[in-house]
Amino acid sequence: MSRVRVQFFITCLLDHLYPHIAQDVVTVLERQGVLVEVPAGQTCCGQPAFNSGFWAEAASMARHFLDLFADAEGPIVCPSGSCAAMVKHHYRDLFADEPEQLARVEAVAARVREFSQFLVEDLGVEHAGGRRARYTYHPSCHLTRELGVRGPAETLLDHIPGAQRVPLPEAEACCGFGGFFAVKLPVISSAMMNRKLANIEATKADVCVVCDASCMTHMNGGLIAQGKSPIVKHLAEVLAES
Amino acid sequence: MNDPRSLILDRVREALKRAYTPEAMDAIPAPPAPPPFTQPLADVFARALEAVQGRCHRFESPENARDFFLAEMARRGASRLLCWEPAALPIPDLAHALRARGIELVSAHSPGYERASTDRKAHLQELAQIGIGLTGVAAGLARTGSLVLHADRSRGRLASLLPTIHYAILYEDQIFPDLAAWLAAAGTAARIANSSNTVIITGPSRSADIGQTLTLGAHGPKEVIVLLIENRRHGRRPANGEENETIEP
Amino acid sequence: MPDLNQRASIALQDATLQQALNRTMEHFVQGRLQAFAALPHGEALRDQARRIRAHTIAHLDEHLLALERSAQANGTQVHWAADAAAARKIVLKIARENDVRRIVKSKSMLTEEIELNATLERAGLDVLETDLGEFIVQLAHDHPSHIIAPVVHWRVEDVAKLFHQHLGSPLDADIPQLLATARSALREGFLQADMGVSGANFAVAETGSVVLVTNEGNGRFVTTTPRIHVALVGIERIAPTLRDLGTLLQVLARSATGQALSVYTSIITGPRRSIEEDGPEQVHIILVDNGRTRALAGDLAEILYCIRCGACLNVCPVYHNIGGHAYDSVYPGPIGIVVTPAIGGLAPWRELPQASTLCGACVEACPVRIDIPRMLLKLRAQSVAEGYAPGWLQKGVRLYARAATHPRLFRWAARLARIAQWFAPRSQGWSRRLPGPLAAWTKTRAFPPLAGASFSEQWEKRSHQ
Repeated sequence: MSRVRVQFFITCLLDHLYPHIAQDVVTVLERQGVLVEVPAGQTCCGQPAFNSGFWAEAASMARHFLDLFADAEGPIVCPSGSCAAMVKHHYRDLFADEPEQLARVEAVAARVREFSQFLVEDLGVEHAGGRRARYTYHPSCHLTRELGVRGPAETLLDHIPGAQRVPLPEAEACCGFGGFFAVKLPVISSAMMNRKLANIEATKADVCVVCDASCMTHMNGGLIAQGKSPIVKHLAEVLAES
Repeated sequence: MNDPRSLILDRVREALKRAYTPEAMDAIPAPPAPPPFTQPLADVFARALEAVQGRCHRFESPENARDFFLAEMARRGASRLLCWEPAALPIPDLAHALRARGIELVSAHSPGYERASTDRKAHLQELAQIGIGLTGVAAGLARTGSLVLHADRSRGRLASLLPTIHYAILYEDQIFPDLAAWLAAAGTAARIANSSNTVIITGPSRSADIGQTLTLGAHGPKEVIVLLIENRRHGRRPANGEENETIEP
Repeated sequence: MPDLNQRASIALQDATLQQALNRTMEHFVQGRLQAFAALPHGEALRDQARRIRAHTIAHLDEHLLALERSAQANGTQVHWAADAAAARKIVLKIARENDVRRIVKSKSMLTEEIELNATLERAGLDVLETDLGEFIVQLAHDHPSHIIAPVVHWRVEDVAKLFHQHLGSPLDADIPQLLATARSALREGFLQADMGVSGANFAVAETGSVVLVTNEGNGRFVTTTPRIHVALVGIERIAPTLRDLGTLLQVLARSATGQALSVYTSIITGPRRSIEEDGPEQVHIILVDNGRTRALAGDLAEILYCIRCGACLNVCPVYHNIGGHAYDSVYPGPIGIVVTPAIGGLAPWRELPQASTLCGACVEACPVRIDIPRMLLKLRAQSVAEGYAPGWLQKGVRLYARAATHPRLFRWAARLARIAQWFAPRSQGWSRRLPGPLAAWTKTRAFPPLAGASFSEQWEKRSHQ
């Protein structure tokens, strides 16, 4: 039987801030027998520019992304709900007037799979590793509401032997990151973050799991600024431990 | 082009050439239908009404309802009622029985209470003194425990609005499953189109504005009490939604 | 004028407001979820409601004409107002021609939008708001902070104080006493009024009816006891048929307050017939554009699908934290940050579309599934195109995009940043101070260090070995 071959869409945050988590993604996938390929020259999908209204700039980054991924084969696995949603749902907005680009966009968009979704929905995996601990899970906004992915991460956490998953109050409320929102309207962003952190604290979990490094950066950034320990971890990080 | 009507219509037509209206179709398909209720509609209605703080008393016959209502009036010590034209009340001998007990039935047409074109306000002030209202209804909606009333000459709208307590008489054969079923029924659209005012009442008046705490009786009746009657023993059995009698002006 | 950040700070420091928002929003959200869960065809009804709204907006000219025809046929007088000033003028004219002195009003966001009360009061007319929340707002010279619950920001003791001052109720009155006080004050107003002014939840083209939904019953009074009823209707507020109205009513109350239906739904089809003894002698519909055709012309037309239920406010984490006043627009929350610039233009309202993390909670709650984030993205793009983006962001994004399309440049930029970051104070290895506007991040959050070697560098090195 031939191995499933995937293209790893690293995302800029994992590439430059958290390369160890990018490695964890590879480890978890390879453990399932997946052949992981990493297209060279990856930078950023353009989401920050797109969300703040810079569509021309976003389109140039999108073009770069398409150049890297259009010809590679197999599913494009992305360990971020929001970067996956950018490619899957918003690239077509950027090229609404360019039919030939649009065809490329649709072909690429159809291949994009978020990491937890790929493991559970495509590979049918339930147990992918992880250590016993008290977990809680923050479902990131774009993963749940733009991609409509609800459940895979919880499935993977629930199959860690001996682990306990406690529900997070107001789980689906945004953590307040929102890209440049966090620096444009820091007061509101911080208030949202504080509410999220208080909810996490109330669960008394050892680890709060997320599927998006941006939310993780925001929440851990808040915890560290408050002198607490950064207990938010990416799902790949949790699963890679065994 | 100074005419605002043409100006607005031109703007609308011009805008529609560029409007992005996702999922717009040329015609609207039929609305989804819910599965039918497995329980009798009267039971569903009664439960829904109680859930919105209304009260539902059930009777086998109009006579039972009449006796109950007479006892209620005696218990409350009522001497006046604001109601529909007595002939429009759907329990045939109710008006007579009330009058026999010395209770005055006041409707907009009662002598001394007619609309005085010069003093509408004084007239309203007078009617507003009456604490109890009594009406029939055109239909009941089971899912929501709602009452439907159409205004016409004999069925004034004040009797269900001004008093603190509103008694409404409803027959089981007047109950529709829900709002959509009532609207879809033959005759409903014409009845709405021909009535200056149709009101759907779902429980007593309420407000949660102060302290976000539910409180009853903000402007309309504080109590809505439905006399739900199983059988019509008098007269013919009308089709769903049809009122018991029609009073020609 | 304080900016949105400053207004948000004020709201966040307002303990009363925070307490009220915490209590109420969750209550509304749970109510909506339960109301739809109790309905076997709830989701299908939402889809149907969306189809109705989409069709109505896409054929608005036809439906406006049909509405006018049916309304005139039932004896309703129809007026058209291109803007707020024209709408105010028509109301004033009707009042003057009929010797009106006292006006009672039912809650209407449109009359807030066109600032009707100030005009009427300047003309010497006595205007009384009769929705309990709006009545409190009027007595206190405040503004509504939620489109469904105008005084969600008021505590019981504050209402007691206000009523004590104006209506003579005891200072320690409880909620039922306060309600009774308001009931008798407003009852007097209803019985003495010459004219009732309302908005319209819907106007039915098939029958020419104005549909008003209230829980308190003020909507019924305002359209029953006064001689004249004037309904201000936004041109987008049409339900083509009674069947469509049925669908829309079923989702409206469930989405707004979690009720299956509001207590009173009035379908007003013309003035009192000559043989009737009660009801208004005249009914007027004023069809108001006031920027709605501007919204219709382009990418933002979908915002006109809105049925004003307020569900998006209740689920919005931004609204949840700052409440309605901080937006400083008549319509707050997710609907407000789109509809306000859509009808009023982006220039005066450019900060509003920024007030969202694009989390999408609003789309999920919206009974007609309006894609608010899509329109926020469009408004932000327009903002950039019109030069409203801050200079630092413009330069920053352009540089970033340049680097991101040249992988080698991107790598070099990352290397530079890696060196620069060691100059910042740190905590647990994370930076506690970023330069320039990014300092807004590090005020409450640390920023992680850039890795010594990126994952792609490590991967390349490995594959070359």
